[in-house]
Amino acid sequence: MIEFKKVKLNINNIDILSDISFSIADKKTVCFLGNKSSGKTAILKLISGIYKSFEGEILIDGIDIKKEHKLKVGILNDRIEIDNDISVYDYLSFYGNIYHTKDKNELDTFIDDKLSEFSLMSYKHTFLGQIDKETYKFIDLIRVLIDDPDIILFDNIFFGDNVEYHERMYNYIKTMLKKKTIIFASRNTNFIEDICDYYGILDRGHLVIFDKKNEVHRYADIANKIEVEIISNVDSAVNILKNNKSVVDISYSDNNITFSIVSSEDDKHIKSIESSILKELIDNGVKVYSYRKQQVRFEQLFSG
Amino acid sequence: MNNIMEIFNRITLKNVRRRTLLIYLFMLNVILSIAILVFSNAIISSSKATGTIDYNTVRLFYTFAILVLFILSYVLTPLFLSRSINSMYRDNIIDNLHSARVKNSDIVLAVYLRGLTYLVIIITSALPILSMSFLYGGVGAFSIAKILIAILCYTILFSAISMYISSTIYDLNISMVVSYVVGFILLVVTLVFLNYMISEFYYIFFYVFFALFCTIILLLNTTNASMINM
Repeated sequence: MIEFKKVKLNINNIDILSDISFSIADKKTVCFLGNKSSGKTAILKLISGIYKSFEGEILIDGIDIKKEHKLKVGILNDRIEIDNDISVYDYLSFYGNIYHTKDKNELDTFIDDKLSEFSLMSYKHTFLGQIDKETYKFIDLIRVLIDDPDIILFDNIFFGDNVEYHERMYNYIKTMLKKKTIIFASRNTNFIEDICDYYGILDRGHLVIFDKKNEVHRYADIANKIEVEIISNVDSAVNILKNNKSVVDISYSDNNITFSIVSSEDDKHIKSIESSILKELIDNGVKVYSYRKQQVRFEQLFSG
Repeated sequence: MNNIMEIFNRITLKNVRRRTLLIYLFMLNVILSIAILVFSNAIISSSKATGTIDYNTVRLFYTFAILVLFILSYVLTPLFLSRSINSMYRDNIIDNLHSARVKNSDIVLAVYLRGLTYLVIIITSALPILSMSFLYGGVGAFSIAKILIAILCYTILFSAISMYISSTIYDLNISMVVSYVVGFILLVVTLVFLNYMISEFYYIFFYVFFALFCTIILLLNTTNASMINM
């Protein structure tokens, strides 16, 4: 289990994370979503032990990560390690020797097996600087797997538009589900949506919401706006909406009005409010041409 | 210790592939050999013509040899160390090492020892040729030892300074320029005091103590620098 207790991270006098608290059960798949500089990568770097100077407490299986140095956490960073003078084999054996989890023969066999599994055997003696970013990600995944970590962190793993890469990576990650704790940091839910149990949405260092995927989707639905197109009596319609306590964020131009409905009740209640507002408008002589929920993509909620 | 050696080997492997050490060694020894041939020829020609040894040329030869060793250390140290930590940071190597739970001190020591090893190899490779100049200069073995200690201490301290600068300045070129400026000041101070070091034993003792003390402080500070201790 991973537990964050009021974690604050400040780098060069900039607050990267503010009072972050959450817990992730073993073998769950979580995705931290957010805009650029929202702090999602910082969370991964804290779990992996890259960032050490933070306030608060981070526990992995009850052990304070500031005190324990041999936690089994692997991270695939967004930024790739640029070294044009080291071959794939040298790179993997270097980290293999640092992890100390396998002897030389075991390590060589493991590297060969994994390179074959990912169809990358031909790259074994190629220098890192000569391979593309997608291939590099698979090699980096092998680096992480050498240590056989219980927790694997993926920072922006589904980048670019290489469909073949996305599918191969997605299929491999699926094989690890329910066997390892997997945490993603991403700006969108492409590929991740199917495999995540939890979502955490970050905004400028604040964890806005951390909950089960379905709950976050429900929240997203609540946040959706209603779009109304009026044929006449716009002013009257705006006054009716302003007088309704469940309606917020009213904006209008020409014959279009948009507004949001706020309620702490369940989906059914919100739908009943939607219906009652429409009925109220019509009963008060407002000629409504269309009345529909604005289609907001989930990502739009946090990507500004 | 194991991690230090692994990082040491990896950076060394990189330099071996780039043939950096080989190129420096070759260029240095070619330049020195030519200079010494010219000096020796001048001394022998003068001796043959006049029947006496021209001590002015001999003294020049001896001073040249000492300066070459110092300048060698001054020129090469920033090349090996002033872009060490910041380039590892930029290349994301430090992030991966941290995620593999490698200690800050292991990274710093591996980088420092690699740089120092290269410098010592290059300086000692020049000694067989430079020893000829000491022979002509007519100085005693004890004085030569003191000069070599001074050069070694200068190299140790300047290496630590260069590495510290590389851990605090993100821009690779600026860190190299700053390193050369600081190294030049240290070089001038060392050369000014070199005469005292040769004549008085406690001056060299003081310089050794000063160099080692500052090196330890700088290495500890590098371990806690923002690019290493994130």
